Amino acid sequence: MSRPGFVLSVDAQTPPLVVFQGEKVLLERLPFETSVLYPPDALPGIPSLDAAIEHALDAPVDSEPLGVLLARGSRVTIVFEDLSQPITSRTAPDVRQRVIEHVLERAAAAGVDDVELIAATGLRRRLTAHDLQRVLGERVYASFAPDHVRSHDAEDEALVSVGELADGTPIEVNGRVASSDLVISVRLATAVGNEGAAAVATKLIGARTARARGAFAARGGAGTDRAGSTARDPFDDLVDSIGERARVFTVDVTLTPEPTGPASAFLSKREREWSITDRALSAGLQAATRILPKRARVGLAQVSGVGYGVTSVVAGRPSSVHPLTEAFLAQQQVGQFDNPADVALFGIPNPGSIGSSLNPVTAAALGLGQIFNGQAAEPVVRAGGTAIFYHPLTPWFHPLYDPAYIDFFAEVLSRGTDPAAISTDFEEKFAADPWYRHVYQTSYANHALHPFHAWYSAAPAIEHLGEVIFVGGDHESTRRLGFKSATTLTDALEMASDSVGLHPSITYVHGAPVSISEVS
Amino acid sequence: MTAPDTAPDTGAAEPGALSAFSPLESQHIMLTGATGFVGQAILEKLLADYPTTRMTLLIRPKGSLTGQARLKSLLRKPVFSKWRERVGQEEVDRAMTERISVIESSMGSVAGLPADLDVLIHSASTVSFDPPIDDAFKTNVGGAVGLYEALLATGSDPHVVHVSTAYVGGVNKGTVVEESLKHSIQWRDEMAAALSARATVEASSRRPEVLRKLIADAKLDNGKVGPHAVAIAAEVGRTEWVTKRLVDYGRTRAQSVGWADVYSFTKSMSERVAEELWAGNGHRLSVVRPAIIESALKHPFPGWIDGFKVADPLIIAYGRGLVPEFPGLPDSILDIIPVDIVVNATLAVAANPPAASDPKYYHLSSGGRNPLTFREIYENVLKYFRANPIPDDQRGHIRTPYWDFPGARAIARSLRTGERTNQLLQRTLLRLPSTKTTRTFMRQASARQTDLELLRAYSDLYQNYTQAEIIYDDSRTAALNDQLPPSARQTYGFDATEIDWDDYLQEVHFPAVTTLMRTFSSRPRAKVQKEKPLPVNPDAAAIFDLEGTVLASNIIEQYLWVRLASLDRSKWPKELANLFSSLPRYIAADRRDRGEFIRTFYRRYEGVDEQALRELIHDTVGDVLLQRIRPEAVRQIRKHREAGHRTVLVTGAIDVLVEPFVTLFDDVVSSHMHADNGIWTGHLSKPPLVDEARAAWLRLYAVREGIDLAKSYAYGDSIADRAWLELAGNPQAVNPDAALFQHATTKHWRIHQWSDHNHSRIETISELLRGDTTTSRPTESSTHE
Repeated sequence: MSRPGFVLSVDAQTPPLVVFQGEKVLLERLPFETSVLYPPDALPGIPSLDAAIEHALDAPVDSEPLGVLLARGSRVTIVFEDLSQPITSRTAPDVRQRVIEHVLERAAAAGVDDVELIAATGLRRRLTAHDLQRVLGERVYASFAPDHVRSHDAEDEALVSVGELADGTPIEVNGRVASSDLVISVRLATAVGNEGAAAVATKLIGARTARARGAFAARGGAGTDRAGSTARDPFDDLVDSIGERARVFTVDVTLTPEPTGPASAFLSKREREWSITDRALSAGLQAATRILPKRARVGLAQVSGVGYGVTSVVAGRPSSVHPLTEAFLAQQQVGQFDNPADVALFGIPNPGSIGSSLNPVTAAALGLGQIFNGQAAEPVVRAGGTAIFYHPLTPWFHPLYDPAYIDFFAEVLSRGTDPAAISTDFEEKFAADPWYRHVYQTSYANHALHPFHAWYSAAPAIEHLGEVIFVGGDHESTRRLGFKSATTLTDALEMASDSVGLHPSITYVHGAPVSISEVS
Repeated sequence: MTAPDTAPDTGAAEPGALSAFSPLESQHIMLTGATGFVGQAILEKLLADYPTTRMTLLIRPKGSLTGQARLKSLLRKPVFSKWRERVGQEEVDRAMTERISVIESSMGSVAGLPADLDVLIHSASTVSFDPPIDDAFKTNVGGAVGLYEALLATGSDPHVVHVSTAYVGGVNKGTVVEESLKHSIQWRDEMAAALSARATVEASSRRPEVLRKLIADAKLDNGKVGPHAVAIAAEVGRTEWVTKRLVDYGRTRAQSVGWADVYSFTKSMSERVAEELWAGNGHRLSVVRPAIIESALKHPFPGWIDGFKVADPLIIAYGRGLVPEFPGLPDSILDIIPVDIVVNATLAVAANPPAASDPKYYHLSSGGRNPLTFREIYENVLKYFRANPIPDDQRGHIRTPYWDFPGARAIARSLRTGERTNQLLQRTLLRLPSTKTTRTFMRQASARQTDLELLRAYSDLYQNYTQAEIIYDDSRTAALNDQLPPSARQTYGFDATEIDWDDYLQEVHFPAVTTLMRTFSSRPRAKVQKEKPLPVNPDAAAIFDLEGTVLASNIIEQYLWVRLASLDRSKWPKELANLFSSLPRYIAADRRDRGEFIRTFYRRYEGVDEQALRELIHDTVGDVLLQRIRPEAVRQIRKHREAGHRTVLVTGAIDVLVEPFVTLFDDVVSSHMHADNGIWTGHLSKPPLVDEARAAWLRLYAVREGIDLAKSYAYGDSIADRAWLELAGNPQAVNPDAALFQHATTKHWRIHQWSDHNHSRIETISELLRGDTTTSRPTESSTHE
């Protein structure tokens, strides 16, 4: 068993602590008596991944072994996580590739030749050829490209209806998936909430369904994402099978919550326990971030995140595997802490795997996601309290991936940030826009609804909080998002003092944030 | 000889001073130039302080305004405000109908003058110092001839007061006395020469060598716009050339016979006309020669002025810090005379006619007895603007410069250097690629040019005044003033020695002209334009150019991505070297003509397999091109669609390369390469739609599709787009090149600054290197290598 989570109270002996701020890593001295929440140490990695995968596939939970399910002449679709889950290694094959290779071996042995690979992108952008090669490896990619490996297309015309949402909207899913005999779902998760809903079908639905499901009005109030609403989710029927024909077999892989490469391991260590080497590395990183131009620093973050460890592989019937995965991941959450604080601090790094800096809307959604979906099981900040994030919120958008975000930021947020108003005034316009659909389908743009869902997901947190402050945030863009920017933590606390007083209780959640599968 | 023959009518006499002194009693006075500065003031004075006189005004109809209508609006001007306040609107209306009659006529052709005139005050003249020679003669000399001939035709014998200018004295040193001008220039010869000058100049402007130069100049600025624009510009250039030449004729002729400019030259000729036609025919003539007339000392109120007068633009320019030095002689006398003194003197002259055939001359000046030197004016201006600085936009106040009076030569030299440097800078900027920085420089350079032009104009104009070493003796005028009974001096006096210059300049004149300037320049400044939704109109279209407008890219770059994506990496350096070594050739071609450039450049596509290229664009290059799209452009296109406008893309780019963008537009018009068995020959199948070819296409397109161009929008980035942008009612310049920027600024087109470098080219290259956007299938190139 790894070391449990830990709460440190800052005193005179506490060294400066690691705080992520976009592509920078700061060493900040926090005010005395700040509670620092360290997550538990990462669970131990699996010694032999191949053995673990084989064992999972051959002895699945509540299911016949995969070899038995693969019948000659059957139609098989393998769905796998897109880049919303990190590439697990820069040097060795990605975990997805390793699982899929084992699956394909068994399929070949069983004489199955109708196999397709589909990336479960939801409303996210298509994977480029390069992305697919990184995720699947060159061998798998070469044998399936270009016709048998692709990304899910939410605007595809060949979607199949497999049910109905509460409001009567049909649940339309990927046609290939619904017409398969067996759907093998390869899923990755780093933390609770990160693995998404139990039904993989949620990542394979059409835009119309996604729009109704993700509509602002359809979302519950604060905190319901975590607690689960009492109303029955129609997707519960789509966990073990999708439609009449397709049976789902899942392979759930859990990862360490943060990269564990040798070079950057110190970032998630407790500062008091840093070795001489860690200190030297830290000093080097500090110097590098100071000297390097901004664009190069993005690369630095990528280099430093070397790899994720695999902590478990479980396969089988999804409705049985999913609770196991959740329970396993819950071990890595910060367990006990006192009362919710007046002020919570979070650092937000740019995720190395995405390969570019976060746009301000995504960064804000990621940051605010920490309130209800963070490393702690409960919000670490009280209702009406203040959240202080470290992120530059540079108004930079990827020209291919983010066209809808660019316009969302320029035209929607500039008129107001109220999600209800945004949803009535703009969502339809964006969803119906032929240009967004065109670039989503033919190029590599995120779907037009993506920025809306990101913004809605941040709404409960904004509602919960009294004040949101970004340290180092670009003045203009922070203002546009409806938040405040501060140059330093001291300034931020000064600004917060109106609502939380001059001596607030402060909690700093150490480490990288948990990304929620819905929006990342 | 002083009193008119009517006896004082005691019963109708006004109370106070007027009953004791009532000149021009019940006389009928005709006034020309009543809408001018001095004319207005004379009319006001007559209305206010000469209650029994009747006036006939000779007013030229202007546009649709009749003479009567012009009088009506004239009486609403500030000069009459004090009088109106005093007597009430009813009296104003009564005076207008009972005391004033209007004769509509233009100078030169005067019909039906009244036969019962007692006095005629001729104060009409051109206001410009440097008009073309024929215009100057027509107005100043021809006007006088027409008037005096018409007057002779009536057979009456009024006393004519001919308003001239002190500067008829010409370029001289020393004291000028009040007498007839001494020269032997024949006004008839000069008039004939001046009138025929236009025909001569018009003829010589059509000489091939002149036209060739005009065409060359027009090509320099408009070559890229197209041949039609060159022709138009050449003709405009010719007209300007004619005017400039005629101005030169005037100024040079004036200088050759001893006058500073054509204004004073023609004014002196018109004195001769008055002497010859009127006094020479046995009538009474007085000539008044005012110096530089400026704002009123006392009447109708201190500081009254109608627009900027001679010295005022210089004062304002100085206050705005635009005149670092000035070519004046510090000890020269700037002969300023307040307008109310001129008015009183003129009316006193009118009331005291000379004997027939013995014209009298009066200088209305201050230089003789109360001189004001240029140095004193400068010190006063400095003092005034240091105490009351002109506010500078958001930067506090403008600090006025100190003058050293280094002499005309030094200033002329530095002015010339400044002009040359600025011209060089502008030419260089026009040749540089357009960026935000060059546009900023461009804006600064053109602001600087405006300043320099102003300085040049002032220095040319004022040299004659500020370097004058001439004194106008005004003893006859002084003697006339002395005849006034002391009780009447308050209202009718015109003693120039009474002026306290410091007080007049600080308290009266400078405040008046700066107020005037503030009312001119306090128009609400263009605020940051608030985006308004586009008006819905199904007949409107929005026409977009592609390269540089919708895309932050050009056809060279497109070609580069296509080649890099299709070639094996080992061949990149060779291709790049080849492309870069040809760049100067392409740039030179583009500078001459956009069509030529496109034809030359597209030869590089010779041997390309069209099908392979289509696949390449579908797989790779399309995304590279999409990265170059400007988000603002997409938003703008969307707005036009929402407003029901038809969105049209017109480009010289090849249709295959435009493929990724077609869904953005309702209509796409692009070039097509000629192919032989699916292999491109490097020739276009039709002439490229650029510059005026595009304009012609657009005209036709609008007719065929029923598009209302006047309500349409056009977006372009280059001067080559000018011709077709102009066709639309709402032309818009997007990140314009220097030449288009200049054009758009002068035409008040909307200028958009859309983002340029969202994704750097280096990143694109590294993505291509990484194979990020390439498919596994190596796209074989079947190009000419």
